[in-house]
Amino acid sequence: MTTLIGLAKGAGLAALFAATLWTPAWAWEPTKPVEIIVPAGAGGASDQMARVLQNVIGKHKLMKQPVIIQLKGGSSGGEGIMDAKMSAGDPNKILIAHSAIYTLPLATDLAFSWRDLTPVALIAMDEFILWVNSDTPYKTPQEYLAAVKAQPEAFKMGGTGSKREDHIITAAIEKAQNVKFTYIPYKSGGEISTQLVGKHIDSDVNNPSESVAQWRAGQVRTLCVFDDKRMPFKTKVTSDQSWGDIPTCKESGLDVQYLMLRGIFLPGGATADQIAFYVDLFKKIVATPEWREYVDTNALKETFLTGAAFRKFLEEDEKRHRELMTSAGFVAVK
Amino acid sequence: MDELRLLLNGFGVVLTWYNVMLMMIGIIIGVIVGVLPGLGGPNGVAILLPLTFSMEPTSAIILLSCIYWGALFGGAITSILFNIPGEAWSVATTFDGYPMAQQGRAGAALTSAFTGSFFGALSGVLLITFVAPIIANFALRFGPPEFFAVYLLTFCSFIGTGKEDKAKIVISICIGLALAAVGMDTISGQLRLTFGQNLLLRGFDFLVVVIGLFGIGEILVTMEEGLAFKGKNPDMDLKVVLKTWAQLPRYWLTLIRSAVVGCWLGVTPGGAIAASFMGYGLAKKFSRNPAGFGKGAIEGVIAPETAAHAAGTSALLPMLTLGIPGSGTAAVLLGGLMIWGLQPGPLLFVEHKDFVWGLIASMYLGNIAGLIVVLSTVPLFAAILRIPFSIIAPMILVACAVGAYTVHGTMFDVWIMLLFGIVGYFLKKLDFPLAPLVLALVLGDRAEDAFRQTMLGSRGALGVFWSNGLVGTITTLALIILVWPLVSQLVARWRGRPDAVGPGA
Amino acid sequence: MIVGLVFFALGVLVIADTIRLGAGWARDGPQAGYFPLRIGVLIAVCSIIVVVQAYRRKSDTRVFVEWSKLVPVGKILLPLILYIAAMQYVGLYVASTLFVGGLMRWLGRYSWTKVIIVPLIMSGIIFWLFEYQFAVPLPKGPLEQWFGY
Repeated sequence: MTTLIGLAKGAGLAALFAATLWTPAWAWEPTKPVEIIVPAGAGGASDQMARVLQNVIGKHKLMKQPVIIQLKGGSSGGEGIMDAKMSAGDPNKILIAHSAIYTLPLATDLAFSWRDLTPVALIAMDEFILWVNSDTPYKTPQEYLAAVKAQPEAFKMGGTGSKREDHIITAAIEKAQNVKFTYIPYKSGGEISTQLVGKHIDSDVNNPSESVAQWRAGQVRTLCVFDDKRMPFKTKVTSDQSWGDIPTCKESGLDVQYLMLRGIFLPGGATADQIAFYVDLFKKIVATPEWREYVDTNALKETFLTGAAFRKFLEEDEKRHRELMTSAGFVAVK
Repeated sequence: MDELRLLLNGFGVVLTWYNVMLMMIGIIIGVIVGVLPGLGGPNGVAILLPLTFSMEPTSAIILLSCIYWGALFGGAITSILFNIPGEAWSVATTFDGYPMAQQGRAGAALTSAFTGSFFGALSGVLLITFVAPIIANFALRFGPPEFFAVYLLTFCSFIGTGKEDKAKIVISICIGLALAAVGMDTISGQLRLTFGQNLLLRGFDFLVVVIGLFGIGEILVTMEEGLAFKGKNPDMDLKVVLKTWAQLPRYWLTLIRSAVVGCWLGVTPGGAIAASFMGYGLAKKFSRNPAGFGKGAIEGVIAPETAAHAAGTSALLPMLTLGIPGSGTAAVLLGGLMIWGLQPGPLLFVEHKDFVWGLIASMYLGNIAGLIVVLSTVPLFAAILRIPFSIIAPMILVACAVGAYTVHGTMFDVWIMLLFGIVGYFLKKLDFPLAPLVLALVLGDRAEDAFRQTMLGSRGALGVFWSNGLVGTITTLALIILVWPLVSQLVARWRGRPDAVGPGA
Repeated sequence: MIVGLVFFALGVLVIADTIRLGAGWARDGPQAGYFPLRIGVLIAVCSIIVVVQAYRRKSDTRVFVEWSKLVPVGKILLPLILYIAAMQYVGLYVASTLFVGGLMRWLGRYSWTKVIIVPLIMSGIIFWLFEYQFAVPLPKGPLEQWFGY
């Protein structure tokens, strides 16, 4: 611990020193290479997002210091978020958070709350889609769920990990439609997608980017998207469909909505100047053409929130997760 | 032969001076990251990924895939010279590679490792060139029961011939399994064996443990036995390459067996690590001289390297055709493909012919270039063994510490490495076998996940492991291999005393 | 034999945590603690076997490490521990330079010039490779900060 404090002190001194030398536009600027903590494994959605950020920052020279990506995906990202918590006071580290910041502390006895960190910005939201294999006869969620209802537990729903977003959605569907799946946890969305094509599972709730390849090849079919509005993307992805053509689950009679945050956090105890620097940085990033292209190809939901609005969002989102997880029985007995 | 025409076309795309230069740079960087413990193929590729965003996709993938080949080659170097696996898939290479180096046959070990790697890679590329679509569909047939059967087969092919005390083997496996269980349980989402310690959330990283057990442990053992490597003067002449090559045709069966195992495991994302262990285990089982294994048998070096490289190469196949990564490096490459605007998956072969065949052509050329580069460095690396122990030992320890740190960027891992170094020393002194521990640590949690996914799917019925031809065959094969030594022992005994009445007869 | 007892303790530790998780075979397959519990039990049982074996074999009184042999092992183990401890405070580069230099002098009796030059070159190479080429930060201490890293 003492080393960390020492480092932070050193960083502070160096910042003062730098400030007098270069007279930068900002009251504070990163003094060392900035580490992006990715609480997920190599090649996953969070990792890709981090690499796009790294690319955009480097290409448009948005920061003097280089960006380093640290993959800390142990324990469903618990390793990464705890690392961010332990780095309190270090403004040269940022965390790309996903919903594990709520689900992990609820499902396990992990001593963490997002309030331990400093929220910077919500930069996007992940959509979730209900997918089935194209060889099955189901064209709408209702047809599929009627089949599931007829044979409780006979249908296998694949998802990433246990007591996390995919599992929560599954539980929400079960509750809303009074059906029962057999939920099978896997390690990654890519793996699940292949399992669906290989008919080892009957459906999944992957993100668009995780299944787009199989969708375009006509191996899987979309049933509905778990959002309140259809996605805005009009470009044809398959021969005859765009992301925007997928109906929402609600309009198909399955009233379940779920979006997952992609938020940027600093470790705890960041100063106002530091937050201002990163807020400005991410404002610039989301305005670049590279970022727009990334959002389009991965069919992310464009969202940008900072400051009080972001905090309010976090409060509500956390409350919602607690409700969903409590009703699904995922909350650990403490 | 449509493939051949497309491939020739691909060669045309790849063979520009610029691309050949990128290839060489890629190979050299790859060898460096492969040699440095802790930095591996995934790191090397990830680090250079941002540099390639502005390049043309074909050039970019050539550079990055060559790093991958280089890392596959490079991983063997430290395993053989210092008993430190630079990469997870090189662990099995240490079993015979290091004893060879100690006997002054480092050059021969390196040459056979590299040649085996090359042969494996070549088999992988041939597979990709000619039967990609068929193989891709085969990979789709792998669900949880099939995966579990494969892991079972790996365990069974590797275990069962050990000469060590049975109780010690079991303890070794169990410790590996227990270590693998630390951290988040995928199936239930619960934290296991972390005892509320944040530092344990990550679980025990395989590489950190291995660097400790093998690297540090070995230095401590060497210290005890006097201040020098046991290595005699290493053969460090390029002639050793030719001499070793002259011997290799004798091991054609091992080469082919390992290549087949590797290709198969690479395609079904069992990975290069499982392939290297299975290749080694099978070579030992079917060798005419199994007693020589672990004491510097050349087959013990060829087998895992060929398998690992074949798996590493064919792991790119499911990535390209299905969009699923067969290995960590493939996962990072996959991310790269998407950033370049290429969508890996079934349509890639149709929509981006130039890119795909350029990549396949670069696999041939990249591996040939790689082989030339690494073979020419054999004398150089062998010469490292001539450096006096009191200089090289602390440097190896520094390399170990750097390696352990870079895996996850925490000091805690360096302490873990030290702890396992001491544990490794004691285990070695007490004749506990280390290999089963390592194998269990690598495959333990995956095997458990697969088993429990299967059980969730079948609702607790074990019959699922014989529910279709594929899984049934693998499971049965695994069990046969497990009891094989027992049976052959009985057969040998029965033949030895034909007049004696067997028990129960 | 002591090692056997340590393993036994480890086994018990594993058992204790897994019982908390639920180690049964639920209707749809094994629970989280199912395998670890069996592993824990196996470790404990086998360590008892090893201990018993060691006890029986006592007749051959083969000491597993002679004290005199522990000295050279300690010669490298203790500096290694110090090195890793120091790394946290002075950073990896300074610690590594001192460590390699120190051991070269102490074990190898090299001349001071070599002792100074070799480790410095080594640290330089590591620094160049990791900080510049691969952009992987290694632990740094006050000295590096003084230079502005």
